[in-house]
Amino acid sequence: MYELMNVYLENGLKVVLHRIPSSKTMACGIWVKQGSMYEDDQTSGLSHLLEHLIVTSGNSKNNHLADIESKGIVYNATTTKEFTSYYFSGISEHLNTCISALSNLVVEFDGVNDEAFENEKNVVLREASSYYSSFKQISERSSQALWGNGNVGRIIVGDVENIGKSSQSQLMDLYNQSYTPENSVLVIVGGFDYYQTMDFVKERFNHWEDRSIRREVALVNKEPGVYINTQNKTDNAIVSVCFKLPEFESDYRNALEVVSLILGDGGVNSRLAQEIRVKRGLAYIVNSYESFYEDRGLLGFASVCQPTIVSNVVEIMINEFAKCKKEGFSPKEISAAKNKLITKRILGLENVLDHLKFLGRCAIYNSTFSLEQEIRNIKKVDGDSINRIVEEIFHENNLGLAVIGNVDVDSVLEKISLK
Amino acid sequence: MEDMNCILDNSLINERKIVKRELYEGPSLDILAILVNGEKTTSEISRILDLPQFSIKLYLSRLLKGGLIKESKTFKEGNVIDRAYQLSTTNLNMINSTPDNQSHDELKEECSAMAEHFNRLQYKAISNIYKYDSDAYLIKSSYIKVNKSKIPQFKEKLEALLKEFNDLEDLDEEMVFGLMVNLTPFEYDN
Repeated sequence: MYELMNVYLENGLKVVLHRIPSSKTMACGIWVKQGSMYEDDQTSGLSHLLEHLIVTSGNSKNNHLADIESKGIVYNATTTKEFTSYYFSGISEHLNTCISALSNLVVEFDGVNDEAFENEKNVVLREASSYYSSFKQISERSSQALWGNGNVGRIIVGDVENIGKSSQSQLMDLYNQSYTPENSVLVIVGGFDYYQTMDFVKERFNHWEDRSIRREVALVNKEPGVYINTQNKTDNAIVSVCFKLPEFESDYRNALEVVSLILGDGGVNSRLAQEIRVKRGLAYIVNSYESFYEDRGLLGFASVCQPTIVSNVVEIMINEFAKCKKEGFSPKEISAAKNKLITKRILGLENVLDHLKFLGRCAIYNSTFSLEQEIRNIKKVDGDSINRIVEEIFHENNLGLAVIGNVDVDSVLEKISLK
Repeated sequence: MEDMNCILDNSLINERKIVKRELYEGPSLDILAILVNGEKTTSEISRILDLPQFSIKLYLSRLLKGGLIKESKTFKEGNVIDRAYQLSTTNLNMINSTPDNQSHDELKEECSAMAEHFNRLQYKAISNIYKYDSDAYLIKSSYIKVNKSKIPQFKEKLEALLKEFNDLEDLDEEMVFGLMVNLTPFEYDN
């Protein structure tokens, strides 16, 4: 049985608790529905900068984060396209300490001193510079190709100019507009007592003032497109062929993850790795990735290779997608991928922090979750359901392309025909 | 490695040589020809040319950045936006002059790109005349030896004729007519 308790405080804060009776560890976190998709051209990058400032404030005032670390508690924060999260994990006896720390960070934030602000801006600028210099950005560039510059196409680290010229008052405005109880979820996983924990949560979060949220959600482009950056003149290029997918709650999510594993699971046994790397030696890195958001999703296939052979790699990928549509997948492939997916889910949920992150995401989407249902849904994936979704997804009008490197994009486009 | 601009960056248009060449790559000129008949969305152009939408978007973005087309309308359905495009001008004057500060090789390449552009437009026009009666078209060419000093005056007359042609425009009409002028010295062997 998978037990979840959902509670709403009077100020609108949703609290999700999942007790694991035998566990001696815990994890807790707050998810705030403020990420890059809610930014515009003038505020691009500020959600991420705000996250940094909030954590910095925990370090600089009262030094409570240093005290927390000294107890062996681990903490971190993440900004995504859809939300920003702050979380702690450690042994169960420190749960109340962590809940207090979350409240101090997220509810009591009132800025940092000027020196700390400028220092943190520089840190974020360095992080952005490092990000834009690496091929890690390919999955976000794929989102950008599919949906345009806004909404889930907007890059999380954002616009370096905005970051450089931002002011604390701008960041406080963003904080006041979006860090509200109704716009947030508190999640707690591990070994704890429900009622004692809820009493403490109320003590630490009831005073959080609810405010109106001011927000506009950007539009997404109807048709997918291409992202190209040919400024990179190094020996390697990275290319990603990507497809639009349905949203996180879609009945097809697990089937799509199975397809992703069969075609592009890391290692040398996936179909694409076999065709591109093992048989032809065209690339070292070939892998698939999926991103599911509240309203939409993406499935991408990326490869790092020499710029001159990108069109060959893309041609092979397109041939494999066409083959999937025509011939489907073997029962053996499907069974192996399902087993991998089930193992991945269970392993993920046995780690209390990964479990917290999964629950936090479900909670911010208002999606109900149970491990048993998740496993049942994976087991139900079969050849028919895969064939149906592949027929719909693998089509050139559902396809986007992202390329970074000194590549002749026109010759790549000629290789892409997928009806 | 330099910081990369985080906004959608089609760096293909940063160099003048590249922009002229790339503007003629692929179906760009076909897109211009389609838009001569009025505004179209990406998916409409994709259907007409039987090319994928993402590919059409790339060429549209080049033409946008080259100033040859512009967005004419946006359509919103929920949080999805669709766009229609039109020509920035119906006078496709882009090929009428070359800048002074180009090297010999740059100039040669520019002229070669212009020739391809013109060739594509002429092909589109002439290959469709079978659909019309002879009152609707005039296709002639003439090659003469002439004193170069007489050409400027003749050019003025042609400019005046082009203006007269443009003055015929009636936006309520359905049919589009093209008048392409190519007055050049002619060398058969390059």
